[in-house]
Amino acid sequence: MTGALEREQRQFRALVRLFAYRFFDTDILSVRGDLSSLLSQLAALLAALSLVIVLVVAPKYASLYQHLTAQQLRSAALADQEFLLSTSMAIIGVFTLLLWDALFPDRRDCLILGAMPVRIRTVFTAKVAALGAALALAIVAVNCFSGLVCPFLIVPDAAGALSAVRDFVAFWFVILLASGFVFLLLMGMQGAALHLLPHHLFLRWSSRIQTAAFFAVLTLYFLAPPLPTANAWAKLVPSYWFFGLFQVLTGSANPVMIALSHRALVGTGLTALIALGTYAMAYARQMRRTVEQSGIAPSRSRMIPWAEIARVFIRRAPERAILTFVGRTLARSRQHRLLLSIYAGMGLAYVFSQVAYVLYHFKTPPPGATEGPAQTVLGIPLILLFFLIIGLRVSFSIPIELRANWLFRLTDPFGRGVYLDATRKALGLSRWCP
Amino acid sequence: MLEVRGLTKRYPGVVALDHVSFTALPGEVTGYLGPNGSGKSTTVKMITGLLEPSAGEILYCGRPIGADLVEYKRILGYVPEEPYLYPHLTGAEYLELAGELRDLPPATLRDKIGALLELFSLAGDRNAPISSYSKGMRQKILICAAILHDPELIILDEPFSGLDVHAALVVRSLIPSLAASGKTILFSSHVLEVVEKVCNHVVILHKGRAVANDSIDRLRDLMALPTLEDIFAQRVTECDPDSTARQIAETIRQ
Repeated sequence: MTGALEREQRQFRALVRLFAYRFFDTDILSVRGDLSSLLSQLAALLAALSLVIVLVVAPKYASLYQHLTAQQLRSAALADQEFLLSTSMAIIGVFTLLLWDALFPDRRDCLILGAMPVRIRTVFTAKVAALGAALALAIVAVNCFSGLVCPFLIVPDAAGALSAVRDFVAFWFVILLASGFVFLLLMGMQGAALHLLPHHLFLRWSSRIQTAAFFAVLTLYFLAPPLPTANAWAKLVPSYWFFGLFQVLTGSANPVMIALSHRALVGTGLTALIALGTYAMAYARQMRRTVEQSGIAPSRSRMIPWAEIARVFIRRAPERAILTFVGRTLARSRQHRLLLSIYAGMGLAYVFSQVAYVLYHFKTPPPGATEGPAQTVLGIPLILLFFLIIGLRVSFSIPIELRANWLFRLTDPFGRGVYLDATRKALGLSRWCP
Repeated sequence: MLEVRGLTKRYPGVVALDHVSFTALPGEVTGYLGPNGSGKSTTVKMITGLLEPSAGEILYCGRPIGADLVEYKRILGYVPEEPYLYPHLTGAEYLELAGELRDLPPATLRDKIGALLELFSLAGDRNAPISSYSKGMRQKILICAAILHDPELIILDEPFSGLDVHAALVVRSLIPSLAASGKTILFSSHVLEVVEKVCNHVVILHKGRAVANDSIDRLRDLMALPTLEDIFAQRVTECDPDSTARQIAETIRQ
């Protein structure tokens, strides 16, 4: 019995290591080194973000404490409390979406681990442990600077050391809960899709859900109304629920905040239930189902008729072939689609911040504003195009399958110029996207 | 002894395997043949516990494998047809993972990995990620992972896929020698010459049904045909290969 237990523990450790590697098997981070250096890279990346947050939030308090009244200080601090919470939630959201494909057992796991003498429960607990460790690492790294400095700045009416400790603990508790909520919500979404959709539809829709969630995270982060006008909307914006919870934990008896804090607790409980339920079911049911099904998303009717588009614009067959290939690759490769989404997301983030500026400061522009709403709106297509071009440039530099390039190299006699022309035309056509 | 009784696998609208029965004995190599789509890999996935049969049963040493699937998998070695590996691991790391999951003692595991990588001419690439391996190198890693724990039952699904001549000759000699040491081996392949050389017994599948199940010598006598290729052609091939080849040549001239 002890031997079996020890065996399971050894298997558990080996699997946690494997899954932790697989989460970060992404081009963003090098996977050539050992796990500790890989995790250090990730932690450094997120900690850098935390430092930026401190540099944005902290310096102004030096002068605010001197010049503002207690009431004004409290109001300024409320906005920063919300900013810290929503930023942490948005970063954890993007982090979870980058791990999207590694959240649930995939075909590779099912085929390799399915033939090994490992209990499904061991695989399941190892994956949950690896997910928990990745999430904990991300939360601590994202808040390692801001979580140490900001709790003492953003609660200006803390009275005494005990109160400061209470605020510090409350800050970390709410950050953990809010980050967990985002992580579990996204995991639950994928889990629900996995169980509700037939397998072939899930394969096709998974990356679309990922992209939609990515834009939803950015939209919520940038377009959520600022606090003074947020009362009507606060009930719908998760970052305000956790903001309310923080207020309650730091001594607020405001009924609006109490209602928001209830939403935070109920929301987290529900998402945890859905995420863990679908996750356990995935291991109980999906591992065999995945082996039975093909791992390739079947192509249904063609969404975009690339060959027909190429026939309209291009006469030479090799150019047409390249244009069609580029279009189909960008439309079907998950990796390329995700990259484009990230760049489009950056563009949209900027655009959203501008739209938010127009929406919320239109009537009362802040002192020193030089740009009117018309200039802001006119700049949007140019900014989107800029990010799209950069995204396409990066996508073009990543081969979908390097070893398959023999086809293009063997057909080189048609002329490299033809290929370059076709690539330029593909880029030219893509500018119509926005 | 591995016994397959009335094994059936149904998918919506398709019967992938239809009441297939055979026995693979210890000390023998049982060949499992059939054209693409005949149900070979489906059978293999059910024997390895990756798929559940729709009907029928699989017994090992007289016990249904589902009675204790984890214990059964401990004595099983499997080379899959699809070369699924974790590409971010190095060859040595993958074997380490397989050995740890099979609970081999660390020192033994280290020695075995070193020796196997050396014997399969992979020692120089042991620290390179699998993503940089050729098809043949990946296949060697799969073979190493399948025999690392000295299994009693070995399932080989197209083990020669991508192997260079030297490695193929090594594996061809390895299969009978493993059988001679008392292991039960099920060998699924398209390479009829190799099957003819290494197998004592063959099962031929066609459209999900077993159309032959006997020793190669008995099949030759019964069917009065000189080679396994002729037996296979008569039992399975539906159209004349020469005629198909002529049609292909005509098509590319158009």
